[in-house]
Amino acid sequence: MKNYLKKLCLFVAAFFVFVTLFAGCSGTKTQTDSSGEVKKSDTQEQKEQVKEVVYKLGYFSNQYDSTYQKAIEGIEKAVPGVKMELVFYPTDKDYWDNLPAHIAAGTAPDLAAMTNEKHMDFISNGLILPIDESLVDLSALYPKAVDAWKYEGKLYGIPLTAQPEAFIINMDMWKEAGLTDLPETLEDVREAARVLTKGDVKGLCINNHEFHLTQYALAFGGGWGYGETIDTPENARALQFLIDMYREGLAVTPKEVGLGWDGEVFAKGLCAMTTGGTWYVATLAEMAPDMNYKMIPLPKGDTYGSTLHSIAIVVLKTAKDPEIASKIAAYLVRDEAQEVAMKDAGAPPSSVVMSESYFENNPTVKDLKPVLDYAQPFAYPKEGQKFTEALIKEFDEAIYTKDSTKSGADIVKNVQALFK
Amino acid sequence: MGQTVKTLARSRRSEEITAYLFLLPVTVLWFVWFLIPTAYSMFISLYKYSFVAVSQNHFVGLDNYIRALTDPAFYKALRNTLFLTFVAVPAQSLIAFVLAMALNLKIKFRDIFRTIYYVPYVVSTIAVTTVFMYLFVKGSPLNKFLSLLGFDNVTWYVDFKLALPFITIVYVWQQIGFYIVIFLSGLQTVPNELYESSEVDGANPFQKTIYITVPMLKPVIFMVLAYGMIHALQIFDQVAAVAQNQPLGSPAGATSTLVSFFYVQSFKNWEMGYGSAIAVIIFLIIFIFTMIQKKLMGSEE
Amino acid sequence: MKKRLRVSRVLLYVVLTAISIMFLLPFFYALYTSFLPLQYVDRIVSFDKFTINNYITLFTKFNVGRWYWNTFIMTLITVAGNVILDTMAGYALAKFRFRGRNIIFIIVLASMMVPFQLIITPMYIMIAKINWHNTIAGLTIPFLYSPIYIFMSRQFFITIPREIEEAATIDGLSKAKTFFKIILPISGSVIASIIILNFTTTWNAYLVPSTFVTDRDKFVLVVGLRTVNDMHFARPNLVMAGVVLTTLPVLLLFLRFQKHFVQGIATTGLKV
Repeated sequence: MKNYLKKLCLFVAAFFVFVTLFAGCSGTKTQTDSSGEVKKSDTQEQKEQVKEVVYKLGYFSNQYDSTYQKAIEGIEKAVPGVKMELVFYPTDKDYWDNLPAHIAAGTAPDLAAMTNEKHMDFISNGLILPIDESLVDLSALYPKAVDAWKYEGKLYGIPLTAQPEAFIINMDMWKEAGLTDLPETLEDVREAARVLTKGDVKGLCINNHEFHLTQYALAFGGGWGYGETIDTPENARALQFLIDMYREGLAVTPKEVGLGWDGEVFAKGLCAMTTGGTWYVATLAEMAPDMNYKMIPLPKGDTYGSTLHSIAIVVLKTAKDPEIASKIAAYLVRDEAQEVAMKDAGAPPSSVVMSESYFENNPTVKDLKPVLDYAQPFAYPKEGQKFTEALIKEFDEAIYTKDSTKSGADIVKNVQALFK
Repeated sequence: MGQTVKTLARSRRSEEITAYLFLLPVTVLWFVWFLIPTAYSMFISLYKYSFVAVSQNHFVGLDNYIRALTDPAFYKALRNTLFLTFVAVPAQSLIAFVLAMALNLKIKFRDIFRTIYYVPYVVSTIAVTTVFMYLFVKGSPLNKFLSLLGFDNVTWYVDFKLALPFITIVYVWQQIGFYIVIFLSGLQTVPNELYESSEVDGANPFQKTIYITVPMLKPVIFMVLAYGMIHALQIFDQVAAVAQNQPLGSPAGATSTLVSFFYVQSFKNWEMGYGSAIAVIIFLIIFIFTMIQKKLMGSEE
Repeated sequence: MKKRLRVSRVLLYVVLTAISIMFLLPFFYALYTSFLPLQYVDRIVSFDKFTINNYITLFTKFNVGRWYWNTFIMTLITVAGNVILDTMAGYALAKFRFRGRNIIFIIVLASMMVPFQLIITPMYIMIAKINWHNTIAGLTIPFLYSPIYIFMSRQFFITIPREIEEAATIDGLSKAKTFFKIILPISGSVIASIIILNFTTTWNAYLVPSTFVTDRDKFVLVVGLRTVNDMHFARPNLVMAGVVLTTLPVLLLFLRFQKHFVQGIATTGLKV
């Protein structure tokens, strides 16, 4: 019996030694990891000896598989000593929620493909490194697209796409309602919506999502100014326009009809007009192949407004060598890759030459070309998530509360209060 | 005599050692994969802490706790969660018990019925919420029927009053299968003799249930209620599924729960210190409730 | 009397069937949608519009076979661990007298009260430090036990009559042997419920596999199937085909193991 006890004690003791050692080892490992110089496993060290370092590019959405596969082709020649691998994240939600944990654990890729909608938190927390502009040649790219990736004078990503925002109209409904001329102002949109709304089919789909609210803010001459100019009369008027449309019963949100986003509402014929982008082309081709529709710039509020939505390659904090990573990023967005993105994902290219041909060869979207000239960055505050959450919460209260008296001015005032 | 005492003491000790050995593997795993990360999280609840901007982390004492306890959004999440828990736990336990009793009878196609009743627990939350969203959308047949009973014909999950009941319905509906399984396997431990002898005494099925089944199942009932409460107080998946692409707790926090509130702080706003403090408070709330429940149910041995 | 019995039987079947239909709604919806081309989703269409293209797409354009395998391995290891370790721990808590028993039981309860999302990031950092991310070890080792099933088996073992163990002790069996040779064989219903429930949750797990694994070939089924939606593109028909593919194996498993929910096992024990 005593023997038994002794064995047990020994076993337990051995276990704790093991655990402590384990913890000790991993402790030292973190330090090397967080300094970002040495990278785990032996195999990789061996590779470094033969002067070939693996850089990884993270992305999501399998629409872009072919784009990035094309993009990393030939990297060994373009940036000597570099090999590339792709890291695929299952969904956008996983991408945005898990990437920070992966960066903290040192397992994140070196580069990432990102849109300029949710990058502000990454920039303000130092997770995306600024790119030294002297190292890369940006002359082929649309200056507006490059600007969309600048913050406080620094460049944080090299754009692959430059997406103007669009206003999409169901022409079958339009004609059926006896309407002829396309709307030129948002007042026209309101008038048309009154004619187009019939029972459960509404004139306008308002996706209560920051992307769409921002379009209207810009069309009224407003904008968020990175948090500086939330509480302005322009933004208030824009939101008030949407709230009025909704309260008058002319508009519908995707959620209240049980759908995920505006494209589905539109494709199902539950609204006649909506804000969106060139991604509608592929969606409608599959979901509503028989529908006649038109894509035009968002009609004028007080002015013309649109965001410039852009996917770019950014250099993450985990990059082995930020300078090399910047060069890789510049290589990845070359015309060949953009061409694949254009073909397979329907994404408007950021290169000036490619962009020209994209709009010329796609009659559905050709009216959007001029939008790129006045398109602006989203300009959300540094704490982007907090902002969008607050904005949508306020907006939802205004539209979903019965007999709500909340105005656009109230919303911008309340949201601004969080970003003083 | 002395010999017997010694043997008894020895068998007592061997029992103790066997017990520790039985618990050892779980303890090891628990220590490494639960205690260390939990202790770490509790530790950072005293910091302004973010995993991503490590250089700005600093000690703030109880500030995160004070911030949570003075945040109206926290109390809203707490109220929502308590509502859900106190509706869902009795509902799911009772329904599951009744259905488990029925599925324990000698009926035809029993295997098939049992499997069907387990389906809601298996089918992914996406499919379930999608269907429930169609059922409770404005103008749906179900809504039209409910409007006869005095409900507004509105889309439940964008309505400030009905969004939370909507989530509760989805939650209960999904969880029932879990508790049916537990009750079903619990029912097998009730010895047949007890029923047989009660039949001799002329007890009807209802009396048998109350006087035999329920007392015999007391440990299982305690578990169903305790775990049901622990689980419901941490509801998150359904909230996330119903929110879709909108912020968690939409519309405007009407469906925000304790864990979704914590999730937003930790994973959306990257305030892990603050988030951890909220999680610790959640833990304490659940702990207190469970201990009260344990007291109320008495010793179950 | 007999007539009344028959009437109540019929009524029972009617009620059970009605509830069945209600419970099956989402699955029917998934099944129906999984056979539709995208343009007909959410519409009632005739059978001639049905297509099995969605399933073909999943198996050809996506790596579903591989993901099935990964999920299967992950689930098998996890469930095996849980069945053995949790019942051992539960039995110790139910039937052994030792110092600290109550405290340990409260710790078991308390471990269920910590929101899992709280520990997933530190856990991932630990996993990454020992290079277990993207491995089956990272997905299974930390989850070889779970407090709920320890709790559950404890509650079940409590109900086992003391006489059984006493008889075993008289026969000269040690406590450990009693558990493995006598108790486990008559605990089919507990083990079946642990297998069923743990299999279901592990098979359907999303949070952990999506955080711990970033290698497309190592995805599990549920994670892999989420990739059918693109950045700007929802494909409910493919999603629902995925739901059907995910659900069926679990239902088959349930059908097999629910057979253990039969009266009389504990009673036979009592008669020993």
